[in-house]
Amino acid sequence: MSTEGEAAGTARESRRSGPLVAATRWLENLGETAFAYLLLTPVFVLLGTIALYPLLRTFELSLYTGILGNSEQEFVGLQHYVDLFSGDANPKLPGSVTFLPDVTTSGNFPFVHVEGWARSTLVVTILFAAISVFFETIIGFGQALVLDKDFRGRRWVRAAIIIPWAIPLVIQGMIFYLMFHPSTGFLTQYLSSFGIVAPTNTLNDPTSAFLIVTVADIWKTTAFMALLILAGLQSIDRSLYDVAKVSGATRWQQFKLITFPLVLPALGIAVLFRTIDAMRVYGLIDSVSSCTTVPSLSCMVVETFYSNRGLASAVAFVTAGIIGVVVIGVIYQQYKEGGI
Amino acid sequence: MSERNSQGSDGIDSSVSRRTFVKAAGASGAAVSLAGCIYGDDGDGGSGNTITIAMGSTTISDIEDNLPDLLHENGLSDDVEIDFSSQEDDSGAQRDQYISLLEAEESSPDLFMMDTGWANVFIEQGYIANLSEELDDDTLDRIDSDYFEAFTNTVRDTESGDLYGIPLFPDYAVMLYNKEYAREAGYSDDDFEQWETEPMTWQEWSETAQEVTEASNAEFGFSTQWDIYEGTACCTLNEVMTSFGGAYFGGEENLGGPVGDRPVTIDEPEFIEALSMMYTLAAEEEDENTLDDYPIGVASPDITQWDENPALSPFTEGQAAFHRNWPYSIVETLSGDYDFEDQDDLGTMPLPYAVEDGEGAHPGTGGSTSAQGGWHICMNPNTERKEDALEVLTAMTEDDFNLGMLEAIAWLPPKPDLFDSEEATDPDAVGVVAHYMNTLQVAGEGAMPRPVTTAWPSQANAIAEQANQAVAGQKSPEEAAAELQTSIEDIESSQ
Repeated sequence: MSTEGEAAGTARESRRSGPLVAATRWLENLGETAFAYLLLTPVFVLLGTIALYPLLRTFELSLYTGILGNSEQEFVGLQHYVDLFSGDANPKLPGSVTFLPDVTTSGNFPFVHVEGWARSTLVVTILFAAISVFFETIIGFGQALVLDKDFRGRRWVRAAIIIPWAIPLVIQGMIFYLMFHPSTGFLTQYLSSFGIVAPTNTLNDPTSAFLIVTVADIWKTTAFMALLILAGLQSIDRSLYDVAKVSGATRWQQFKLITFPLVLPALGIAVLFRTIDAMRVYGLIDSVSSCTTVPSLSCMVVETFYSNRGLASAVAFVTAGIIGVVVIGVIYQQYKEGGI
Repeated sequence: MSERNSQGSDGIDSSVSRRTFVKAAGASGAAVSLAGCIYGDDGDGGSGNTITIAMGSTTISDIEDNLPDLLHENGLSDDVEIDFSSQEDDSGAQRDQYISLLEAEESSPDLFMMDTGWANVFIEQGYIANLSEELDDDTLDRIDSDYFEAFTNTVRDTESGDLYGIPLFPDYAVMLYNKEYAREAGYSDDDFEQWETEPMTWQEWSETAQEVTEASNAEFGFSTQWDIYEGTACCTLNEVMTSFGGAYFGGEENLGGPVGDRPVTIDEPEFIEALSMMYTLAAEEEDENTLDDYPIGVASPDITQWDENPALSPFTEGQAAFHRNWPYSIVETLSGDYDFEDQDDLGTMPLPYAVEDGEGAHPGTGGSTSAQGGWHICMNPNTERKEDALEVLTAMTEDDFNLGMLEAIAWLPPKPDLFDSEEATDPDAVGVVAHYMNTLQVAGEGAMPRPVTTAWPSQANAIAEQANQAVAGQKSPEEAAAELQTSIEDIESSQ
């Protein structure tokens, strides 16, 4: 008996002091947050592999010159980055396209040489992102406010707003291309009479093409903004408006003190998503005009990919870096404001 | 440059059947070829005896009914089928697709149709098979002795001289014109006969074009290609510039380099005058950049947004009186649903010139100039059907194959003897294109290759951009030339 009791006791003891017991105790002692992160670890590993590996591989490629698969690849370290930011890479890029604006020539506009800036992929991309996201946000907000109201035919209006977003990118690009192409275009003559676009060579004119591509992007993606903002609007507690009405608040005051502050987190996310998207613009440019006429950062990557893969990888990595800075900046801002 | 495309002409099958049927080794003697032509774009090869050839999608639609039959008639075994891998029509896009495929060491497509403008890139990178080591001696001797040497050299290794492709067809641009419109302006068959082989000066031609436009239903005189694309740099501007006595790099001897160690001769009077003339032709009104010697508005201002096919449409539809394009456009014009029935409706002439041949500012310039285009067939070194692929390449070197393709789609023979042969100018042998061989021969004599080097893709982009903006009036020809000079010098020095 005693022997059996001792044996059972020994077995229990060994189980208590085994690795499983130790692990269980460790888990029980973990804080809530740490435990949550532990459960998320597999996802972090998976996402890290999927997202980080290509980025690191891109960086690795940017350290070499020559064409992939060519045995004559040469390690050049950070030379491609030096070339990009010093302007020495510009002659290697297609046409007159540069990475940084060319400010070496005197300008025909106060302080800047307009053409030098218009040929810079960095300037064109930032300008495109800023203009398109600004107008998409304003118009999208307006559309969301309309869709948030209860009125007859709201479903139809919502469908009408979503249609441009549902059209595939290349088809949408072709629509705008055909609207301004000399053989088929019907808008060129009308808009050029107001000086909005060039009367001839419209799709090869940098200013006109930039405007057309930007408008095309706004037309397509405003619906996306509207839907995200609408989701934010519909999460607002309606009783707040009832209280505000009882208190005698005007519509403007309701918007300023209730709607806008409460929709701001959703708006921030929407702006972030669209900014990231706009910074990567390529397909729309390629289908409406050309990368030579409206050179974006992604255009530069594609155009230099086959002639200088190392340089193309450097541009891609810098683009990813810029987008990363934007994302981290927005997340940090929201974190500071308690939005996350 | 876009890979040019057209609709296959009617009546091809009957003409092919008139050819001498060359019995393939081991053929059963069946009159009907077993070769199939499976249109596909997956490029994943096919069954055991299928050879896949990569080319532009519209080219496939042009030749898929003729090329397999011609190959079988010229020695390809009946059990070898021909399949096509559909690629983008744009030549540059094709090049990039091929690089991706070959870098990945894909075994299919087995053969690639490659532009003379960039085949050298594939040779330099070691992407394609060395045919000097693969083809039999008889075929190699035939290529050495029978083919245009300069054209064949564009698919040879510059150092070893080894052959990396079979020259398929050279391309020389010509000026097409609407004879009915010309007759309305008072011109006759005697004039047309003279125009066929005797180039006009740009001044004479532009005045003629203006006269014909005013006397006919033509909406404008001239359609050509001046979009921002390879074709403007390699070809249309190259032709006009050379005919004015100008050159990108100091003349013919520097076309192949050495990059960074040759003169850049763009910001010079000849180049500027060439651009100014084109601007004048496309201008809607006189200004400080137009030239007094040429009429205003002969060309449509839309030329700055046209490449090959958009420029061809206004001509075939009767809007333009004159049109510059490659030989495919002759077949295209005569085979479509247009008013052009035969040689009585459609005329051709060599491209105009500004200064006499040899009187240009640089060696090899002046005179009527046609850009040297053309295509080759190269072999994938990773092909799993090397023997069959080599059999296809060998069949492509037969005279009857070349003459068959001349008839089908106006692919000019890559052999001088065939080019000048009676058969090539006999409508019964090669169809309607025979009526235009005289012009094509003159065009071939004044052919100017593009300056293909490793720097050329970047340079072509810069050239096309500035040339386009100058002719569109977005900057003066002088500004464009000065900026381009700087840009090309930068590219040269950075290589």
